[in-house]
Amino acid sequence: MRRWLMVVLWVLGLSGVLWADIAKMQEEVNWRDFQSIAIQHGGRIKPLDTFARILLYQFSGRSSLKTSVGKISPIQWLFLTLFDPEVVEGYSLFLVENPEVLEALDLDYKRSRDRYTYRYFKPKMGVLRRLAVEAQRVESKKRTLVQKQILNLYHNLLTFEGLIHALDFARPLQAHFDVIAKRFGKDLTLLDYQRLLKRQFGVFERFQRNFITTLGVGEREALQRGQIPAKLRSSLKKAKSDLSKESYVVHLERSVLKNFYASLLYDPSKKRGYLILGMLGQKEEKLYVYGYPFRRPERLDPRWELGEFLRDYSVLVLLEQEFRLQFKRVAGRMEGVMYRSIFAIFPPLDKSKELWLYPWAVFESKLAHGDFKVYGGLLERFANLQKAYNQEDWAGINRELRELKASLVELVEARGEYKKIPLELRYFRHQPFFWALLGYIVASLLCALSWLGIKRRFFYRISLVALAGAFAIHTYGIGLRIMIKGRPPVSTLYESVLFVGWVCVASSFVVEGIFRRRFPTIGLGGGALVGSILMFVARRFANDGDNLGVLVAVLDSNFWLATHVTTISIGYSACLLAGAIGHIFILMQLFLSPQKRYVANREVYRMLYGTICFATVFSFLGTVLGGLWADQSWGRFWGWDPKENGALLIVLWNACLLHMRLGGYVRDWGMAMGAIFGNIVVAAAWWGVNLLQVGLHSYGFTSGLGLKLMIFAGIELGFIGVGGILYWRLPKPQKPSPLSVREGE
Amino acid sequence: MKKKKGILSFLASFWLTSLLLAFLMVITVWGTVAQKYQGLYLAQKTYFSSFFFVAHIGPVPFALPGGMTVMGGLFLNLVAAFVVRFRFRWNQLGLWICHGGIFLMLLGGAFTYLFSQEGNMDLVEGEQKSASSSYHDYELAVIRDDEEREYERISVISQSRLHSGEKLELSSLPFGIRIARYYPNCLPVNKGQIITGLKPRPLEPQYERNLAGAELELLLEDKPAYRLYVFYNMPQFVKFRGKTYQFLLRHQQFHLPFTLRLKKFIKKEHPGTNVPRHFESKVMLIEGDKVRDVRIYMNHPLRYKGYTFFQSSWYQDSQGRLHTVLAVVRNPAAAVPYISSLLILLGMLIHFTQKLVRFLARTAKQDRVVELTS
Repeated sequence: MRRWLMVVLWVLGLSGVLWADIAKMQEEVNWRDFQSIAIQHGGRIKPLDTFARILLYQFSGRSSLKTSVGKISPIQWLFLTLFDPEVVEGYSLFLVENPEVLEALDLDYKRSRDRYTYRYFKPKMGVLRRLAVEAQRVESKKRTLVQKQILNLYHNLLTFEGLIHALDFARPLQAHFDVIAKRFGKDLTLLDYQRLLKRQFGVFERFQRNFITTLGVGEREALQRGQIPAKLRSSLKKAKSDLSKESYVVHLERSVLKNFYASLLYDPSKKRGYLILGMLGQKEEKLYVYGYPFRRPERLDPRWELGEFLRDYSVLVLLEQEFRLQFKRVAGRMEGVMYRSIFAIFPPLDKSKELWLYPWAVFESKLAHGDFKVYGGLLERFANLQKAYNQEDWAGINRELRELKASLVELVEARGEYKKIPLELRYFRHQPFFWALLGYIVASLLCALSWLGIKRRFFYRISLVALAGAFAIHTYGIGLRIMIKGRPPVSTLYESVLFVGWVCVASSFVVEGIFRRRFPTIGLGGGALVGSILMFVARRFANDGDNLGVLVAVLDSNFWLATHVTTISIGYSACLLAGAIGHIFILMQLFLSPQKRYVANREVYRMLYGTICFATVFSFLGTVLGGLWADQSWGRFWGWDPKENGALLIVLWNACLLHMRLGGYVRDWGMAMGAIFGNIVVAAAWWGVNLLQVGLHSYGFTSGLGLKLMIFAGIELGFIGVGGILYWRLPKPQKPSPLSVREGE
Repeated sequence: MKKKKGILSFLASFWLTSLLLAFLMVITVWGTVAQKYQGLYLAQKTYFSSFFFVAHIGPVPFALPGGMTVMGGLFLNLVAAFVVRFRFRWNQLGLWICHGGIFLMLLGGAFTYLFSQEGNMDLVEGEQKSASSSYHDYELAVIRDDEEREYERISVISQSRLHSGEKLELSSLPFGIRIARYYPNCLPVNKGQIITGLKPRPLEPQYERNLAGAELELLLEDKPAYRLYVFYNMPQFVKFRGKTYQFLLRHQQFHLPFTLRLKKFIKKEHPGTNVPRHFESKVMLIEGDKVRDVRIYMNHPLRYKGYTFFQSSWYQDSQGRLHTVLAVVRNPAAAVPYISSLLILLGMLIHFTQKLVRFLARTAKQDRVVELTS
């Protein structure tokens, strides 16, 4: 019992410590600097902030991480993953949607749509790999849901592994040789070894240079050929026999000295002595020779010097061995990491190269190439960060982050690729679309209040202000996206939702402007309503992968994106606005008296007609431009592709409505119900065709979409049904005669 | 008036317009959903480029008008409307232009359907071709070699005659050919280069993936004398009266009056990903002595002598060589959509602007009246 209590207390204490650490870290570290470091990911350059957001959402389906120690933001999660993998490996990070995935791995599951730790999957990586390879072999369209999720999970785990091992070279390693640990400290990193080695080698290289210069030409050439000049050989031999007598030295590093030769040369003309050191390989005699200048040999005890020097050299040899072993160990681990290039934050110095480097690649290439000055310092920063983190030296972390960011940004700016990073940071910091959504909701509510007749004027005005404000923020957000991507804001499904919402609100201002004096708030209310609904829908897509990502080659044409996709989106918007007005038409029948209805119906009918004409023009233009784009790219104007058909449907429906109106088959009621049906047509064209997953335009697909669309269509049909019943049951509106006006007076 | 022009006024009615437009929507939805199950090619054939198609409600089949009928109907409707309803008035100017555009667009569509030619050209670096091949249509080529073993005469049997049971007598051949069986999709059973049988397979929704084969009987004086199998791109040889005949089932070939040679194919991805960014074929256009270099890439086709070459796709063959696939289109009515859609747009703009201006003027006046009276 007591033992258990102890365990519990210990665990509590431990978690308390951890909690305190991370909370302190969240508070103390200057995240801005870390966020604004650039990285190449998904084919483009983005801030680490975006990178962290995308990955965290991709892994967990959430935009922040919930742990036992509280909420962690994406950038903080990324920092921890890089610098404290042990902790993050224990976080419930990986979303598993379907229990069958875990069953296939022979793991227990808690409930569906739950998150699990990396550690949970670690022992099963082999099985998972096998299953993933199997799933990979199946053609992507024919994969089962479980296979898709297994592939996703596998991909996510590999990505995570790429991150946790990204900085392995900067993490302390247990030394193999006591001598090394004693001399340089216990917890050296691979980077430390490399640096020490470099420094020590530098010393010896200098010796070598000095020595070589004192040799005669013939002897030097002989040495370079790998032969030992006779003069040298005899002195080496002598040195060897001397050495074996030298108990002090041998005692120090017996193992290293096995193949050791050393000799002192004295050049009387220059009054300089040189120590020559040789190491002979097992089979062929390979000679490393180092000179050690004694400026005043008479004042030094040569034997002491020899001992000192040999000790240094043996340390160097050991250090080299240590480095090789540790390198092998880390490299072996990296070998197993399939996605090690995920953390590509080093821009290549060569401007003609496009692919950025990841730290390990830089570390490796550092050995071979000469970019040591630039990259070496950066790698050091990471090692320093790791050290500072281990010591909880927050000020140190901030200092290193600042420096790291400054030097990385300088490199990226030299390539001219940093311009858009601050914009993107601002885009994510300001969350313009969230605020726009809030504004639209407020505007809708205020508008509804004014319809109810409470302080009509007042609420009308402030709802106008709210709508205008939200619209301004919305415009700002879309503007930022245009600047970041350098494209018209319509290249993905997410963007098209944002854009359609924007156009809806913009056109609602126009409708309001035209009808303000005769019948206010209808256009306004419609715009606010559609705006809030679309912005709400958009939020669902905001986190699906990189919403500022690159485009495939087919879509890579700003001209056609700007013309075709923009106009077709405007067509969608106008149809949706007409649909919203149609809803308002049906609803207002319930609240208005027959006399008032007469005027109201007439005005709303005009509004509807105008909006539908507008919708017809733009959806036709958009459809035709799409055909022309297809003609330019594929050589056919029309191919009955699902998305083309969707666009055609909208045009046909609008044309049908206009002709029915001309024929007198529909009037105000029919037009309103037709506009509501138009909403279904738009939903089918815009989203429904993605369900088919065929054709050239399948740029977005979401599971569960089918059901949502069915529900939407059901609601809209319900509205049309209610409209039909009202038309049939309600008393017909009466034309207010001048007489009745007089009676009223 | 109405009685006199009974049929014409029915043809010109808004009711018919609305009905046809609505039914075109139905077909569009139908044909779009069918693509998921049948593939684009078959769905298009069944619903859009057909006069009738058969639908089932439960087990009961019934025929519905296909895209051709509906669009033909719209065309008649439009023509009738021009006769009956349209008047030469200023406020109908936009309508005239707009519907004129629609008239042209429907005509252009029919023209394209009848006369355009679509194919592709598959080239590996260094290869040259002066023919494009059809995506879906096959042809049976019978090629005779003379003593010098140089193929000299080609007899071609086109897709429209490739049916089970079809009998063919070609004046250029000393024997008749009966197509005993034609399989739109099958696998060959072969010993080396000789096909000994064909295994039929179900049709693939992606129609380009279907590989056709046929069982042929060679007839001498109307009697079966020899049986052989042909399969896509596997030439079969038959010796007859000292001459060798090559039987080759291949995609239909469209000959071009010039030659293209692929000099280099370039493909680029977004750095660090598999997302394609740029494809480009550097080709040499050879026509007699004239030679020029051309680049063909996304959204930048080569247009020459009525033919248009588009960068369509690429693939890597089993030997690791990159192939480029160029789509080759010849459409004499290619300009029609541009003109007609411009007209339609112009017409709509004129018409709706007129209406808007009139509406705004009227409301302004009414508002003034309201202000005055109140």
